[in-house]
Amino acid sequence: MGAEKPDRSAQPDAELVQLVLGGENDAFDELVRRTRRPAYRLARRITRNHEDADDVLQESYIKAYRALARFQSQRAFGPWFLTIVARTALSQIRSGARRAAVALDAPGEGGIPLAERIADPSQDPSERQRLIDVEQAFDRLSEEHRAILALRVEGDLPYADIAAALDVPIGTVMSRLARAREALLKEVEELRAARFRR
Amino acid sequence: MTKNPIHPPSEDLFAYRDGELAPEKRSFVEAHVLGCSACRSMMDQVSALESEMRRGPDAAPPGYLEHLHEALRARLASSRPAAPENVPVPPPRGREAPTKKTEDRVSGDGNRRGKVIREAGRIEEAPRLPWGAILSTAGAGAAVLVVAVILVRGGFAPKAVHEKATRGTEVSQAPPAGTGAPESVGRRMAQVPPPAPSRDEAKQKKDERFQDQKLAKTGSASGQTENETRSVADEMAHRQDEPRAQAPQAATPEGLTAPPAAMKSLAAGEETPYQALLRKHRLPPVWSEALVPATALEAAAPELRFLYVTGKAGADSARVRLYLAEADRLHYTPGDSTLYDEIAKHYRRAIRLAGSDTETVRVATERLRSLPR
Repeated sequence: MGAEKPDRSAQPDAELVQLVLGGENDAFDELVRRTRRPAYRLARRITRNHEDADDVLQESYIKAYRALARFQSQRAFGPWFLTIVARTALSQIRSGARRAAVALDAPGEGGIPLAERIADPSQDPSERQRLIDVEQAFDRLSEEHRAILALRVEGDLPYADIAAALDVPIGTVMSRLARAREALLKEVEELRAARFRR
Repeated sequence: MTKNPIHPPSEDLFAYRDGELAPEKRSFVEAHVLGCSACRSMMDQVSALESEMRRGPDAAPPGYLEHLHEALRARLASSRPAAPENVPVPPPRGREAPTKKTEDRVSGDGNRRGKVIREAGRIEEAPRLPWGAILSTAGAGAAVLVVAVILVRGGFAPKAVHEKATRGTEVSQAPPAGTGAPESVGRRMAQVPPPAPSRDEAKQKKDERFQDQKLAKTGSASGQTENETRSVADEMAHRQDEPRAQAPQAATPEGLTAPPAAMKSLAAGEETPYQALLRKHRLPPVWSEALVPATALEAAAPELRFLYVTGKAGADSARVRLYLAEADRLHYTPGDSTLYDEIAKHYRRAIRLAGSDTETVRVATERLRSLPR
Protein backbone atom coordinates (compact mmCIF):
# COMPACT_ATOMS: atom_id res chain seq x y z
CA MET A 1 0.00 0.00 0.00
CA GLY A 2 1.19 3.48 -0.74
CA ALA A 3 2.47 5.60 2.11
CA GLU A 4 0.14 8.52 1.45
CA LYS A 5 -3.53 8.08 0.79
CA PRO A 6 -5.63 10.84 -0.69
CA ASP A 7 -8.19 12.38 1.64
CA ARG A 8 -11.51 11.21 0.23
CA SER A 9 -13.69 12.34 3.10
CA ALA A 10 -15.32 15.12 1.06
CA GLN A 11 -15.94 13.10 -2.08
CA PRO A 12 -19.54 12.19 -2.93
CA ASP A 13 -20.53 8.53 -2.71
CA ALA A 14 -21.06 8.25 -6.46
CA GLU A 15 -17.52 9.39 -7.17
CA LEU A 16 -16.11 6.92 -4.69
CA VAL A 17 -18.06 4.13 -6.32
CA GLN A 18 -16.68 5.08 -9.72
CA LEU A 19 -13.17 5.10 -8.28
CA VAL A 20 -13.63 1.60 -6.86
CA LEU A 21 -14.96 0.39 -10.20
CA GLY A 22 -11.83 1.87 -11.75
CA GLY A 23 -9.65 -0.15 -9.38
CA GLU A 24 -9.03 2.38 -6.58
CA ASN A 25 -9.75 0.18 -3.60
CA ASP A 26 -8.84 2.87 -1.10
CA ALA A 27 -12.07 4.56 -2.11
CA PHE A 28 -13.96 1.54 -0.80
CA ASP A 29 -12.31 2.06 2.60
CA GLU A 30 -13.95 5.46 2.69
CA LEU A 31 -17.34 3.96 1.86
CA VAL A 32 -16.79 1.49 4.71
CA ARG A 33 -15.88 4.32 7.10
CA ARG A 34 -19.06 6.18 6.22
CA THR A 35 -21.39 3.27 6.74
CA ARG A 36 -19.78 0.97 9.31
CA ARG A 37 -21.45 2.38 12.42
CA PRO A 38 -25.10 2.41 11.30
CA ALA A 39 -24.50 -0.87 9.48
CA TYR A 40 -23.09 -2.53 12.60
CA ARG A 41 -25.87 -1.21 14.78
CA LEU A 42 -28.45 -2.46 12.30
CA ALA A 43 -26.84 -5.89 12.03
CA ARG A 44 -26.42 -6.14 15.79
CA ARG A 45 -30.02 -5.16 16.44
CA ILE A 46 -31.25 -7.87 14.10
CA THR A 47 -28.82 -10.65 15.02
CA ARG A 48 -28.49 -9.72 18.72
CA ASN A 49 -24.88 -10.78 19.12
CA HIS A 50 -21.54 -9.45 18.00
CA GLU A 51 -20.25 -12.53 16.21
CA ASP A 52 -23.23 -12.79 13.89
CA ALA A 53 -23.27 -9.03 13.37
CA ASP A 54 -19.60 -9.22 12.36
CA ASP A 55 -20.31 -12.04 9.90
CA VAL A 56 -23.25 -10.13 8.47
CA LEU A 57 -21.26 -6.94 8.12
CA GLN A 58 -18.33 -8.54 6.34
CA GLU A 59 -20.60 -10.55 4.08
CA SER A 60 -22.60 -7.43 3.25
CA TYR A 61 -19.53 -5.41 2.34
CA ILE A 62 -18.33 -8.20 0.07
CA LYS A 63 -21.75 -8.36 -1.61
CA ALA A 64 -21.86 -4.60 -2.02
CA TYR A 65 -18.36 -4.57 -3.46
CA ARG A 66 -19.27 -7.21 -6.01
CA ALA A 67 -22.49 -5.44 -6.91
CA LEU A 68 -21.08 -1.91 -7.14
CA ALA A 69 -21.75 -1.74 -10.86
CA ARG A 70 -25.45 -2.04 -10.06
CA PHE A 71 -25.34 0.91 -7.68
CA GLN A 72 -27.33 3.80 -9.08
CA SER A 73 -25.23 6.93 -8.81
CA GLN A 74 -28.17 9.22 -8.09
CA ARG A 75 -28.73 7.41 -4.80
CA ALA A 76 -26.70 7.62 -1.60
CA PHE A 77 -24.53 4.59 -0.93
CA GLY A 78 -25.64 4.33 2.71
CA PRO A 79 -29.32 3.39 2.29
CA TRP A 80 -28.45 1.05 -0.56
CA PHE A 81 -25.87 -0.69 1.57
CA LEU A 82 -28.11 -0.86 4.63
CA THR A 83 -30.73 -2.73 2.65
CA ILE A 84 -28.04 -5.29 1.83
CA VAL A 85 -27.11 -5.53 5.52
CA ALA A 86 -30.73 -6.04 6.51
CA ARG A 87 -31.34 -8.74 3.92
CA THR A 88 -28.15 -10.54 4.87
CA ALA A 89 -28.93 -10.35 8.58
CA LEU A 90 -32.48 -11.61 8.12
CA SER A 91 -31.29 -14.38 5.89
CA GLN A 92 -28.75 -15.40 8.53
CA ILE A 93 -31.43 -15.45 11.19
CA ARG A 94 -33.79 -17.49 9.06
CA SER A 95 -31.12 -19.97 8.09
CA GLY A 96 -30.86 -20.85 11.77
CA ALA A 97 -27.08 -20.60 11.62
CA ARG A 98 -26.81 -17.87 14.18
CA ARG A 99 -25.35 -17.89 17.61
CA ALA A 100 -27.37 -17.36 20.76
CA ALA A 101 -28.51 -13.84 21.48
CA VAL A 102 -26.66 -12.16 24.29
CA ALA A 103 -29.02 -11.28 27.11
CA LEU A 104 -28.73 -7.77 28.40
CA ASP A 105 -27.73 -8.92 31.86
CA ALA A 106 -25.25 -11.54 30.63
CA PRO A 107 -21.54 -10.76 30.81
CA GLY A 108 -20.49 -9.14 27.58
CA GLU A 109 -17.09 -8.36 26.16
CA GLY A 110 -14.55 -7.93 28.93
CA GLY A 111 -16.83 -9.65 31.42
CA ILE A 112 -18.93 -6.52 31.90
CA PRO A 113 -22.70 -7.03 31.79
CA LEU A 114 -24.15 -5.29 28.77
CA ALA A 115 -26.64 -3.46 30.93
CA GLU A 116 -23.74 -1.81 32.72
CA ARG A 117 -22.17 -0.77 29.47
CA ILE A 118 -25.40 0.61 28.17
CA ALA A 119 -24.54 4.16 28.95
CA ASP A 120 -21.90 6.42 30.30
CA PRO A 121 -21.76 5.99 34.11
CA SER A 122 -21.39 9.74 34.41
CA GLN A 123 -24.87 10.13 32.97
CA ASP A 124 -27.87 11.08 34.99
CA PRO A 125 -29.08 7.76 36.54
CA SER A 126 -32.65 8.27 35.38
CA GLU A 127 -31.48 8.91 31.81
CA ARG A 128 -29.35 5.79 32.03
CA GLN A 129 -32.31 3.77 33.28
CA ARG A 130 -34.42 5.00 30.35
CA LEU A 131 -31.79 3.75 27.90
CA ILE A 132 -31.66 0.39 29.66
CA ASP A 133 -35.46 0.17 29.56
CA VAL A 134 -35.67 0.80 25.86
CA GLU A 135 -32.92 -1.73 25.12
CA GLN A 136 -34.66 -4.36 27.23
CA ALA A 137 -38.01 -3.58 25.66
CA PHE A 138 -36.51 -3.82 22.18
CA ASP A 139 -35.02 -7.17 23.09
CA ARG A 140 -38.48 -8.50 23.97
CA LEU A 141 -39.96 -7.68 20.57
CA SER A 142 -40.55 -10.27 17.88
CA GLU A 143 -37.92 -10.74 15.21
CA GLU A 144 -40.21 -9.10 12.66
CA HIS A 145 -40.70 -6.02 14.82
CA ARG A 146 -37.04 -5.74 15.76
CA ALA A 147 -36.00 -5.85 12.13
CA ILE A 148 -38.37 -3.17 10.91
CA LEU A 149 -37.66 -0.87 13.86
CA ALA A 150 -33.94 -1.28 13.39
CA LEU A 151 -34.25 -0.40 9.70
CA ARG A 152 -36.21 2.72 10.48
CA VAL A 153 -34.38 3.87 13.60
CA GLU A 154 -30.77 2.82 13.00
CA GLY A 155 -30.88 2.94 9.22
CA ASP A 156 -33.16 5.97 9.00
CA LEU A 157 -34.42 4.40 5.80
CA PRO A 158 -37.45 5.64 3.88
CA TYR A 159 -40.38 3.27 3.63
CA ALA A 160 -39.57 2.31 0.05
CA ASP A 161 -36.08 1.14 1.04
CA ILE A 162 -37.46 -0.76 4.01
CA ALA A 163 -39.94 -2.42 1.67
CA ALA A 164 -37.10 -3.43 -0.63
CA ALA A 165 -34.99 -4.71 2.27
CA LEU A 166 -37.81 -6.81 3.72
CA ASP A 167 -39.25 -7.80 0.35
CA VAL A 168 -42.73 -6.60 1.29
CA PRO A 169 -45.05 -3.92 -0.13
CA ILE A 170 -45.02 -0.40 1.31
CA GLY A 171 -48.48 -0.90 2.84
CA THR A 172 -47.07 -3.76 4.89
CA VAL A 173 -44.16 -1.58 6.00
CA MET A 174 -46.59 1.06 7.24
CA SER A 175 -48.71 -1.33 9.24
CA ARG A 176 -45.86 -3.47 10.55
CA LEU A 177 -43.86 -0.45 11.64
CA ALA A 178 -46.87 0.96 13.46
CA ARG A 179 -47.42 -2.35 15.28
CA ALA A 180 -43.71 -2.53 16.16
CA ARG A 181 -43.75 0.98 17.61
CA GLU A 182 -46.86 0.25 19.62
CA ALA A 183 -45.30 -2.96 20.91
CA LEU A 184 -42.13 -1.13 21.94
CA LEU A 185 -44.15 1.49 23.75
CA LYS A 186 -46.15 -1.18 25.55
CA GLU A 187 -43.04 -3.12 26.60
CA VAL A 188 -41.37 0.00 27.98
CA GLU A 189 -44.50 0.96 29.89
CA GLU A 190 -44.70 -2.54 31.38
CA LEU A 191 -41.05 -2.49 32.42
CA ARG A 192 -41.43 0.88 34.07
CA ALA A 193 -44.66 -0.09 35.75
CA ALA A 194 -43.07 -3.28 37.11
CA ARG A 195 -40.14 -1.34 38.52
CA PHE A 196 -42.49 1.17 40.10
CA ARG A 197 -44.41 -1.62 41.83
CA ARG A 198 -41.25 -3.07 43.38
CA MET B 1 -58.54 15.51 26.38
CA THR B 2 -59.36 15.27 22.71
CA LYS B 3 -61.87 17.14 20.67
CA ASN B 4 -61.92 14.59 17.91
CA PRO B 5 -62.85 11.08 19.09
CA ILE B 6 -62.19 9.46 15.69
CA HIS B 7 -58.47 8.90 15.57
CA PRO B 8 -56.68 8.10 12.33
CA PRO B 9 -55.07 4.64 12.18
CA SER B 10 -51.71 4.61 13.94
CA GLU B 11 -49.92 3.73 10.69
CA ASP B 12 -51.19 7.00 9.23
CA LEU B 13 -50.07 8.92 12.30
CA PHE B 14 -46.58 7.46 12.17
CA ALA B 15 -46.35 7.84 8.40
CA TYR B 16 -47.32 11.48 8.84
CA ARG B 17 -44.59 11.94 11.43
CA ASP B 18 -42.09 10.17 9.15
CA GLY B 19 -43.06 12.37 6.20
CA GLU B 20 -44.28 9.32 4.31
CA LEU B 21 -48.03 9.86 4.31
CA ALA B 22 -49.83 10.14 0.98
CA PRO B 23 -50.68 13.77 0.14
CA GLU B 24 -54.42 13.12 0.04
CA LYS B 25 -54.41 11.96 3.66
CA ARG B 26 -51.92 14.47 4.96
CA SER B 27 -54.21 17.42 5.58
CA PHE B 28 -56.76 15.28 7.41
CA VAL B 29 -54.16 13.72 9.72
CA GLU B 30 -52.46 17.06 10.26
CA ALA B 31 -55.72 18.70 11.29
CA HIS B 32 -56.47 15.82 13.64
CA VAL B 33 -53.05 15.84 15.28
CA LEU B 34 -53.24 19.56 15.91
CA GLY B 35 -56.44 19.10 17.86
CA CYS B 36 -55.81 15.73 19.52
CA SER B 37 -53.49 15.66 22.50
CA ALA B 38 -53.76 11.86 22.83
CA CYS B 39 -52.38 11.27 19.34
CA ARG B 40 -49.70 13.91 19.83
CA SER B 41 -48.67 12.33 23.11
CA MET B 42 -48.44 8.86 21.59
CA MET B 43 -46.30 10.16 18.73
CA ASP B 44 -44.06 12.09 21.13
CA GLN B 45 -43.57 9.03 23.32
CA VAL B 46 -42.53 6.90 20.36
CA SER B 47 -40.20 9.65 19.13
CA ALA B 48 -38.56 9.76 22.56
CA LEU B 49 -38.09 5.97 22.60
CA GLU B 50 -36.52 5.99 19.15
CA SER B 51 -34.23 8.79 20.17
CA GLU B 52 -33.16 6.71 23.18
CA MET B 53 -32.56 3.73 20.90
CA ARG B 54 -30.25 5.87 18.78
CA ARG B 55 -28.35 7.00 21.86
CA GLY B 56 -27.80 3.41 22.95
CA PRO B 57 -24.29 1.94 22.77
CA ASP B 58 -22.78 0.37 19.69
CA ALA B 59 -21.96 -2.67 21.83
CA ALA B 60 -19.06 -3.45 19.52
CA PRO B 61 -15.77 -4.58 21.06
CA PRO B 62 -13.32 -1.71 21.38
CA GLY B 63 -11.51 -1.00 18.13
CA TYR B 64 -13.71 -3.31 16.08
CA LEU B 65 -15.30 -0.66 13.88
CA GLU B 66 -12.07 1.28 13.50
CA HIS B 67 -10.28 -1.74 12.09
CA LEU B 68 -13.14 -3.18 10.09
CA HIS B 69 -11.87 -1.92 6.74
CA GLU B 70 -8.53 -3.60 7.36
CA ALA B 71 -10.21 -6.91 8.06
CA LEU B 72 -12.24 -6.50 4.92
CA ARG B 73 -9.29 -5.71 2.72
CA ALA B 74 -8.01 -9.26 2.71
CA ARG B 75 -11.39 -10.63 1.78
CA LEU B 76 -11.97 -8.02 -0.89
CA ALA B 77 -8.67 -8.95 -2.48
CA SER B 78 -10.34 -12.06 -3.81
CA SER B 79 -13.35 -10.18 -5.14
CA ARG B 80 -13.79 -7.75 -7.95
CA PRO B 81 -16.73 -5.39 -8.30
CA ALA B 82 -19.18 -6.05 -11.10
CA ALA B 83 -17.53 -9.16 -12.43
CA PRO B 84 -17.93 -11.93 -9.90
CA GLU B 85 -17.32 -14.55 -12.55
CA ASN B 86 -14.33 -12.70 -14.01
CA VAL B 87 -16.10 -12.56 -17.34
CA PRO B 88 -15.39 -9.35 -19.28
CA VAL B 89 -18.32 -7.05 -18.59
CA PRO B 90 -18.52 -3.53 -20.00
CA PRO B 91 -18.26 -1.18 -17.02
CA PRO B 92 -20.94 1.48 -16.65
CA ARG B 93 -20.68 4.98 -18.06
CA GLY B 94 -17.80 4.29 -20.42
CA ARG B 95 -15.27 3.60 -17.71
CA GLU B 96 -12.52 1.23 -18.67
CA ALA B 97 -12.83 -2.31 -17.45
CA PRO B 98 -10.42 -3.16 -14.64
CA THR B 99 -7.17 -4.28 -16.18
CA LYS B 100 -4.88 -7.05 -15.08
CA LYS B 101 -2.76 -4.35 -13.48
CA THR B 102 -5.80 -3.15 -11.55
CA GLU B 103 -6.51 -6.65 -10.43
CA ASP B 104 -2.96 -6.96 -9.15
CA ARG B 105 -3.38 -3.75 -7.24
CA VAL B 106 -6.68 -4.94 -5.79
CA SER B 107 -5.23 -8.18 -4.55
CA GLY B 108 -1.84 -6.76 -3.82
CA ASP B 109 -0.59 -9.48 -1.55
CA GLY B 110 -0.06 -12.31 -3.97
CA ASN B 111 -3.05 -14.27 -2.73
CA ARG B 112 -5.03 -13.45 -5.82
CA ARG B 113 -6.70 -16.72 -6.55
CA GLY B 114 -5.52 -19.52 -4.38
CA LYS B 115 -6.49 -18.58 -0.88
CA VAL B 116 -8.32 -15.91 0.98
CA ILE B 117 -6.78 -14.83 4.23
CA ARG B 118 -9.43 -13.74 6.63
CA GLU B 119 -8.87 -11.25 9.38
CA ALA B 120 -8.76 -13.78 12.16
CA GLY B 121 -6.05 -15.75 10.45
CA ARG B 122 -8.53 -18.28 9.11
CA ILE B 123 -7.72 -19.55 5.68
CA GLU B 124 -10.30 -20.86 3.33
CA GLU B 125 -10.10 -22.15 -0.15
CA ALA B 126 -11.47 -19.88 -2.81
CA PRO B 127 -12.85 -21.51 -5.93
CA ARG B 128 -10.32 -21.73 -8.72
CA LEU B 129 -11.59 -20.40 -11.98
CA PRO B 130 -12.05 -22.96 -14.73
CA TRP B 131 -10.50 -20.84 -17.46
CA GLY B 132 -10.77 -23.58 -20.09
CA ALA B 133 -14.47 -23.94 -19.43
CA ILE B 134 -14.98 -20.16 -19.41
CA LEU B 135 -13.25 -19.70 -22.76
CA SER B 136 -15.11 -22.55 -24.40
CA THR B 137 -18.36 -21.25 -22.88
CA ALA B 138 -17.66 -17.78 -24.25
CA GLY B 139 -17.07 -19.29 -27.69
CA ALA B 140 -20.31 -21.22 -27.52
CA GLY B 141 -22.05 -18.08 -26.30
CA ALA B 142 -20.83 -16.08 -29.26
CA ALA B 143 -22.15 -18.74 -31.62
CA VAL B 144 -25.51 -18.74 -29.85
CA LEU B 145 -25.61 -14.96 -30.07
CA VAL B 146 -25.13 -15.03 -33.82
CA VAL B 147 -27.98 -17.54 -34.19
CA ALA B 148 -30.19 -15.47 -31.89
CA VAL B 149 -29.54 -12.26 -33.85
CA ILE B 150 -30.36 -14.04 -37.11
CA LEU B 151 -33.61 -15.36 -35.63
CA VAL B 152 -34.58 -11.99 -34.18
CA ARG B 153 -33.91 -10.28 -37.48
CA GLY B 154 -36.05 -12.89 -39.16
CA GLY B 155 -38.90 -11.95 -36.84
CA PHE B 156 -39.26 -15.39 -35.28
CA ALA B 157 -39.24 -14.96 -31.56
CA PRO B 158 -40.88 -11.59 -30.83
CA LYS B 159 -43.77 -12.51 -33.05
CA ALA B 160 -44.36 -15.76 -31.24
CA VAL B 161 -44.23 -14.18 -27.81
CA HIS B 162 -46.30 -11.18 -28.75
CA GLU B 163 -48.98 -13.30 -30.27
CA LYS B 164 -49.20 -15.23 -27.05
CA ALA B 165 -49.70 -12.09 -25.02
CA THR B 166 -52.24 -10.45 -27.23
CA ARG B 167 -54.26 -13.27 -28.64
CA GLY B 168 -53.77 -15.65 -25.76
CA THR B 169 -53.52 -18.66 -28.01
CA GLU B 170 -51.19 -21.53 -27.34
CA VAL B 171 -48.07 -20.96 -29.37
CA SER B 172 -45.26 -23.41 -29.42
CA GLN B 173 -42.57 -21.88 -27.27
CA ALA B 174 -39.83 -24.34 -28.06
CA PRO B 175 -36.60 -22.38 -28.29
CA PRO B 176 -35.06 -22.20 -31.71
CA ALA B 177 -32.28 -24.61 -32.42
CA GLY B 178 -29.08 -23.26 -30.99
CA THR B 179 -30.65 -21.44 -28.08
CA GLY B 180 -30.81 -24.51 -25.94
CA ALA B 181 -27.43 -23.77 -24.41
CA PRO B 182 -27.08 -24.01 -20.64
CA GLU B 183 -28.43 -20.93 -18.88
CA SER B 184 -25.00 -19.87 -17.69
CA VAL B 185 -23.89 -19.79 -21.30
CA GLY B 186 -26.85 -17.63 -22.20
CA ARG B 187 -26.17 -15.31 -19.32
CA ARG B 188 -22.52 -14.89 -20.13
CA MET B 189 -23.33 -14.60 -23.79
CA ALA B 190 -25.74 -11.79 -23.00
CA GLN B 191 -23.05 -9.92 -21.10
CA VAL B 192 -20.77 -9.81 -24.11
CA PRO B 193 -21.77 -6.75 -26.12
CA PRO B 194 -22.98 -7.81 -29.54
CA PRO B 195 -21.97 -5.92 -32.69
CA ALA B 196 -23.76 -2.61 -32.26
CA PRO B 197 -25.30 -1.94 -35.69
CA SER B 198 -26.99 -5.31 -36.14
CA ARG B 199 -28.31 -5.31 -32.58
CA ASP B 200 -29.78 -1.83 -32.86
CA GLU B 201 -31.34 -2.72 -36.14
CA ALA B 202 -32.84 -5.88 -34.71
CA LYS B 203 -34.16 -3.97 -31.70
CA GLN B 204 -35.70 -1.31 -33.90
CA LYS B 205 -37.38 -3.87 -36.12
CA LYS B 206 -38.61 -5.79 -33.11
CA ASP B 207 -40.08 -2.63 -31.59
CA GLU B 208 -41.78 -1.67 -34.84
CA ARG B 209 -43.31 -5.12 -35.13
CA PHE B 210 -44.60 -4.90 -31.56
CA GLN B 211 -46.23 -1.56 -32.25
CA ASP B 212 -47.70 -2.67 -35.58
CA GLN B 213 -49.15 -5.84 -34.15
CA LYS B 214 -50.58 -3.96 -31.20
CA LEU B 215 -52.30 -1.53 -33.53
CA ALA B 216 -53.71 -4.39 -35.49
CA LYS B 217 -55.01 -6.12 -32.38
CA THR B 218 -56.42 -3.18 -30.49
CA GLY B 219 -57.58 -1.14 -33.45
CA SER B 220 -55.93 1.98 -32.12
CA ALA B 221 -52.65 3.15 -30.79
CA SER B 222 -52.34 2.99 -27.05
CA GLY B 223 -51.84 6.72 -27.05
CA GLN B 224 -49.25 6.53 -24.33
CA THR B 225 -45.92 8.12 -24.99
CA GLU B 226 -42.59 7.36 -23.48
CA ASN B 227 -42.98 10.42 -21.29
CA GLU B 228 -46.07 9.00 -19.69
CA THR B 229 -44.07 6.15 -18.26
CA ARG B 230 -42.85 7.64 -15.07
CA SER B 231 -39.31 6.80 -14.11
CA VAL B 232 -38.59 5.11 -10.81
CA ALA B 233 -37.25 8.38 -9.48
CA ASP B 234 -40.47 10.14 -10.38
CA GLU B 235 -42.46 7.34 -8.82
CA MET B 236 -40.47 7.64 -5.63
CA ALA B 237 -41.06 11.38 -5.62
CA HIS B 238 -44.78 10.80 -6.05
CA ARG B 239 -44.86 7.90 -3.64
CA GLN B 240 -48.41 7.26 -2.63
CA ASP B 241 -50.16 4.99 -0.29
CA GLU B 242 -51.70 2.70 -2.84
CA PRO B 243 -53.13 -0.62 -1.81
CA ARG B 244 -51.60 -3.63 -3.42
CA ALA B 245 -53.73 -4.16 -6.49
CA GLN B 246 -54.18 -7.86 -6.93
CA ALA B 247 -56.86 -7.94 -9.59
CA PRO B 248 -59.02 -11.00 -9.23
CA GLN B 249 -58.41 -13.52 -11.93
CA ALA B 250 -61.45 -13.92 -14.11
CA ALA B 251 -62.35 -17.32 -15.50
CA THR B 252 -60.37 -17.89 -18.65
CA PRO B 253 -60.83 -20.39 -21.43
CA GLU B 254 -58.42 -23.25 -21.33
CA GLY B 255 -55.20 -22.60 -23.13
CA LEU B 256 -55.13 -18.85 -22.53
CA THR B 257 -51.70 -17.73 -21.50
CA ALA B 258 -52.01 -13.97 -21.05
CA PRO B 259 -53.37 -12.85 -17.67
CA PRO B 260 -56.97 -11.64 -17.92
CA ALA B 261 -56.11 -8.15 -16.68
CA ALA B 262 -53.48 -7.74 -19.34
CA MET B 263 -55.91 -8.89 -22.03
CA LYS B 264 -58.60 -6.59 -20.74
CA SER B 265 -56.33 -3.57 -20.75
CA LEU B 266 -55.09 -4.42 -24.21
CA ALA B 267 -58.66 -4.67 -25.44
CA ALA B 268 -59.39 -1.29 -23.89
CA GLY B 269 -56.28 0.16 -25.45
CA GLU B 270 -54.72 0.82 -22.04
CA GLU B 271 -51.38 -0.27 -20.74
CA THR B 272 -50.72 -1.70 -17.34
CA PRO B 273 -47.58 -0.32 -15.65
CA TYR B 274 -45.91 -3.63 -16.43
CA GLN B 275 -46.72 -3.36 -20.13
CA ALA B 276 -45.46 0.22 -20.22
CA LEU B 277 -42.24 -0.98 -18.64
CA LEU B 278 -41.91 -3.80 -21.17
CA ARG B 279 -42.44 -1.36 -24.00
CA LYS B 280 -39.92 1.08 -22.60
CA HIS B 281 -37.23 -1.59 -22.26
CA ARG B 282 -38.34 -3.61 -25.29
CA LEU B 283 -38.87 -6.77 -23.33
CA PRO B 284 -41.20 -9.67 -24.13
CA PRO B 285 -44.24 -10.27 -21.87
CA VAL B 286 -42.69 -13.36 -20.32
CA TRP B 287 -38.97 -13.55 -19.63
CA SER B 288 -37.15 -15.69 -22.15
CA GLU B 289 -33.48 -16.55 -22.20
CA ALA B 290 -33.33 -16.17 -25.96
CA LEU B 291 -35.03 -12.76 -26.08
CA VAL B 292 -33.86 -10.87 -23.00
CA PRO B 293 -30.26 -9.73 -22.99
CA ALA B 294 -28.66 -9.29 -19.58
CA THR B 295 -28.07 -5.60 -20.22
CA ALA B 296 -31.77 -4.96 -20.85
CA LEU B 297 -32.69 -6.97 -17.79
CA GLU B 298 -30.25 -5.00 -15.63
CA ALA B 299 -31.68 -1.76 -16.95
CA ALA B 300 -35.26 -2.78 -16.25
CA ALA B 301 -34.63 -4.45 -12.87
CA PRO B 302 -35.01 -1.35 -10.62
CA GLU B 303 -38.35 -0.46 -12.21
CA LEU B 304 -39.54 -4.06 -12.03
CA ARG B 305 -38.60 -4.13 -8.36
CA PHE B 306 -40.42 -0.86 -7.81
CA LEU B 307 -43.57 -2.27 -9.45
CA TYR B 308 -43.41 -5.26 -7.18
CA VAL B 309 -42.64 -3.38 -3.99
CA THR B 310 -45.35 -0.77 -4.50
CA GLY B 311 -47.93 -3.35 -5.52
CA LYS B 312 -48.34 -1.79 -8.95
CA ALA B 313 -47.60 -5.08 -10.68
CA GLY B 314 -51.21 -6.05 -10.05
CA ALA B 315 -52.27 -9.00 -12.16
CA ASP B 316 -48.82 -9.07 -13.76
CA SER B 317 -47.19 -9.95 -10.42
CA ALA B 318 -46.22 -13.45 -11.50
CA ARG B 319 -44.41 -12.21 -14.58
CA VAL B 320 -42.73 -9.44 -12.61
CA ARG B 321 -41.55 -12.03 -10.08
CA LEU B 322 -40.12 -14.15 -12.89
CA TYR B 323 -38.21 -11.17 -14.25
CA LEU B 324 -36.94 -10.32 -10.76
CA ALA B 325 -35.71 -13.88 -10.29
CA GLU B 326 -33.79 -13.64 -13.54
CA ALA B 327 -32.39 -10.22 -12.66
CA ASP B 328 -31.05 -11.61 -9.38
CA ARG B 329 -29.81 -14.71 -11.15
CA LEU B 330 -27.49 -12.59 -13.29
CA HIS B 331 -25.41 -12.04 -10.18
CA TYR B 332 -25.73 -15.48 -8.72
CA THR B 333 -22.86 -17.86 -8.18
CA PRO B 334 -23.52 -21.33 -6.78
CA GLY B 335 -22.84 -21.40 -3.06
CA ASP B 336 -24.38 -18.01 -2.36
CA SER B 337 -27.18 -19.34 -0.22
CA THR B 338 -28.68 -15.92 0.48
CA LEU B 339 -29.16 -15.11 -3.15
CA TYR B 340 -30.28 -18.64 -3.91
CA ASP B 341 -33.11 -18.27 -1.40
CA GLU B 342 -34.18 -14.96 -2.87
CA ILE B 343 -34.19 -16.23 -6.43
CA ALA B 344 -36.01 -19.43 -5.52
CA LYS B 345 -38.57 -17.41 -3.58
CA HIS B 346 -39.29 -15.27 -6.63
CA TYR B 347 -39.74 -18.35 -8.83
CA ARG B 348 -42.05 -20.01 -6.32
CA ARG B 349 -44.16 -16.88 -5.97
CA ALA B 350 -44.28 -16.54 -9.74
CA ILE B 351 -45.60 -20.10 -10.01
CA ARG B 352 -48.14 -19.54 -7.25
CA LEU B 353 -49.37 -16.22 -8.60
CA ALA B 354 -49.47 -17.21 -12.25
CA GLY B 355 -52.89 -18.88 -12.11
CA SER B 356 -53.90 -19.70 -15.68
CA ASP B 357 -50.77 -18.09 -17.12
CA THR B 358 -49.29 -21.43 -18.13
CA GLU B 359 -46.30 -19.93 -19.90
CA THR B 360 -45.10 -18.19 -16.75
CA VAL B 361 -45.68 -21.35 -14.72
CA ARG B 362 -43.71 -23.41 -17.23
CA VAL B 363 -40.75 -21.03 -17.47
CA ALA B 364 -40.56 -20.39 -13.72
CA THR B 365 -40.75 -24.12 -12.95
CA GLU B 366 -38.01 -25.00 -15.43
CA ARG B 367 -35.79 -22.18 -14.25
CA LEU B 368 -36.25 -23.10 -10.60
CA ARG B 369 -35.29 -26.68 -11.39
CA SER B 370 -32.16 -25.59 -13.23
CA LEU B 371 -31.00 -23.20 -10.50
CA PRO B 372 -27.84 -24.74 -9.05
CA ARG B 373 -27.31 -24.49 -5.31
